[in-house]
Amino acid sequence: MKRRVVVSGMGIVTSLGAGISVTALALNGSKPAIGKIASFDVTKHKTSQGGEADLKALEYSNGGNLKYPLDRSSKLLLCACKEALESAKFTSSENEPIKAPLILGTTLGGMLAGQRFHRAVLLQEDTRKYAPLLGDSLCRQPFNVASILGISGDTMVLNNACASGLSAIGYAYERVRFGKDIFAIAGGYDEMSDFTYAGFNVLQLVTSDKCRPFDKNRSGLILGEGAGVVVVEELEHATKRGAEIYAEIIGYGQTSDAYHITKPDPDAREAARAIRVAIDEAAIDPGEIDYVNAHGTGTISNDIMEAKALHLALGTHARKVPVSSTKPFTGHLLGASGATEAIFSIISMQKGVIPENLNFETPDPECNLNIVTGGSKKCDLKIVLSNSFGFGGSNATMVFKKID
Amino acid sequence: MDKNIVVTGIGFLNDWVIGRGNFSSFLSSPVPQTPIEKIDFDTYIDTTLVRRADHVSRCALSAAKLALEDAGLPVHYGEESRRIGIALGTVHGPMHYTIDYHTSLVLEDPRLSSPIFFSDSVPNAAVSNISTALGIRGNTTTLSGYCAVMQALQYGSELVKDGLLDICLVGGADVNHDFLVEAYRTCLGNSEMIGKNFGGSGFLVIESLKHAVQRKAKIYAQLEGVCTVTAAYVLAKRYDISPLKELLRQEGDVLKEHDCILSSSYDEEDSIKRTSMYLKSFRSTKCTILDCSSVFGCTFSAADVFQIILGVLGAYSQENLCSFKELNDLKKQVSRIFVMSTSLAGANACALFSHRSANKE
Repeated sequence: MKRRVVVSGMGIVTSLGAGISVTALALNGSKPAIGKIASFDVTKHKTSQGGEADLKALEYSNGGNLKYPLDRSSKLLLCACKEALESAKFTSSENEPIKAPLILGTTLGGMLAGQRFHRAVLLQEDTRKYAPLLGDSLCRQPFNVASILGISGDTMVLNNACASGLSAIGYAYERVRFGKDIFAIAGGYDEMSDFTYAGFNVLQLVTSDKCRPFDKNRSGLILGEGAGVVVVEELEHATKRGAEIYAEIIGYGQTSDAYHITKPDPDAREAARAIRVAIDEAAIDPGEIDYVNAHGTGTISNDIMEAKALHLALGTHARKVPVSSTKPFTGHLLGASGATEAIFSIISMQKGVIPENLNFETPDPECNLNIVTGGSKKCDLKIVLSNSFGFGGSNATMVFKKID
Repeated sequence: MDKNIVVTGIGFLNDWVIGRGNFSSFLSSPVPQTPIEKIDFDTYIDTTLVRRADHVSRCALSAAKLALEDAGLPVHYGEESRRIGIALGTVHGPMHYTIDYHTSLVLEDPRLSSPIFFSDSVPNAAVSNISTALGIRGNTTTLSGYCAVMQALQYGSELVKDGLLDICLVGGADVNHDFLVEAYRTCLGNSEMIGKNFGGSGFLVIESLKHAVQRKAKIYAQLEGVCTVTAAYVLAKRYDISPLKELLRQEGDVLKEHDCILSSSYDEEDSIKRTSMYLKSFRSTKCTILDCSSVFGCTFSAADVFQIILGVLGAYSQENLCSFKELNDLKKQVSRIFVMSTSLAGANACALFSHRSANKE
């Protein structure tokens, strides 16, 4: 028997700050956090801006007295995971760990740690000092966090490029829905590194202008970093233990373009199918969707493809439903984006406020969507859809419902 | 929904040999016959991909294609491709391009580095290349944690059991690189760990029994279950038999004389001792316990998937499938094979394959 699944805990850290309340304030007040990159040298790159998290603040929020050093990604993930567990009222002790799967998505895990070691090898420096963190280059972050927070269960790392975070939540949702787990901890994380920064630069996908999703004059994305974690739980279990319920997950779809390693399929058939699968599973009419939190990277090809997918999947409702991309607030968080944007979607339902699609000025006839402009919009939201797409044609869509 | 999951195809390629039929020669050969770098990938995959893709992608795509062919599944670009998925476990992903790309960033002008190196250095590049080349449009996912191949097996089998896919290609891929040897030497003071050059890829085709019977597929073995655990508060390697315990519990706590346990650990003696200790609680203790660490070396997901294939073929043939001296005990008939895997962070996993006599080739 399929079970009803809810979100009973949330934690987030992005350039907007650490925590749900800080994030909600920034989204509702249309205050982005994009600045000049400080953590590495950007002088050789075309662009210099990004959404970096305040790591000093993270040290404080993480307690600052860890037994061993953590890499940047682990710090981000720990911060979000800790908040999610606290909000869900789950605690562990040495004798009683939290018995639940920890399922996380990431694009490049702990790339910085591997880079440091390899740089030392190339420059013939002493590699030994980088050795303790070397394991972090192998996506060890979830295992670090499981060890620190006392989580015992399957610890899994999913790599579906920029759809990783939502894929992880989607898999956790399926596990709870089909009765394999009572609850699961899931989300996504990614750190800012010159590896990815240079990569997106050479792919000519980043802009030196503002990030303007769906705008006719958009010229690319801005990179960011962060982590988003949710506790996904069976409704009955959450209700019985008196947990706060943030939203119900009512549908999830995941497909693959089978088209190209970086470019989305311009026909948008599989992206549209991911949306349709999620809607069908939710057993709703497309017209019931009150808001779409779009993947909206601000690149030419993604935004046209996503608009087409929404038109294919939602029909005439695609022109009416409010749509915004929240990437201009934080930058594109890659593997974390699907998870953080799922949380943005839930925050928008909770607060009854649709975040603005920042920097949108000139409509693009090829997109033809109802883009939210001129500040955030107050609105009673009952059903929200969140899209997440990634390199290699990974498509993921989730539908959330407000629970009164 | 049919909860019985069976294996209907095997594809395999490593530094020594290619193809399921050559698995035993891989196990019995003391030296590489054909270094993989010289293998003509054009035979297996599209020329453009051969030129462009990282070594891991090339290996994985070739193995995936071999597995589909072995399962008698032609590649379709229609509606059926939406019911086929991929779950690939990899620890290091596209290692060669990652290193090449980063070398160009450090030693040259980053603005001049190749965009192909970057796009093919993301961990899901191999799955993307398989999906694109073979037109697979279902849930396609890369798993890169510890015991990643076992997790891929669990992930894929759940999608099939839950009716979200008809067929899933489940596999593993990792290749060796000088950087890894250097990294492990520095980290552990020991590069022997990855000294055996067994990099490569393997794939299983899994589907529900009902689906396999309907399409008259050859059935190698039934996947009875997969169990994975991670210990809280532990970051080191720790051999833990709890996944084996759990699978045995699900099987009614009955150990059969012709059961076989293939373990893989950092300490062969320790794993065999611990497993034997546990098995003493059963009436029959005659089941075979073998540690495959020295057979497959430590090439991460590649080693894991080779061990799984050995388990599947063992359950299929019910007899020894190799003359490799460490595995001589497999010469006796086996009915069920438990495949154990141990990794860092207290991650341990076990899969159970059983024989299906009606479909023996």
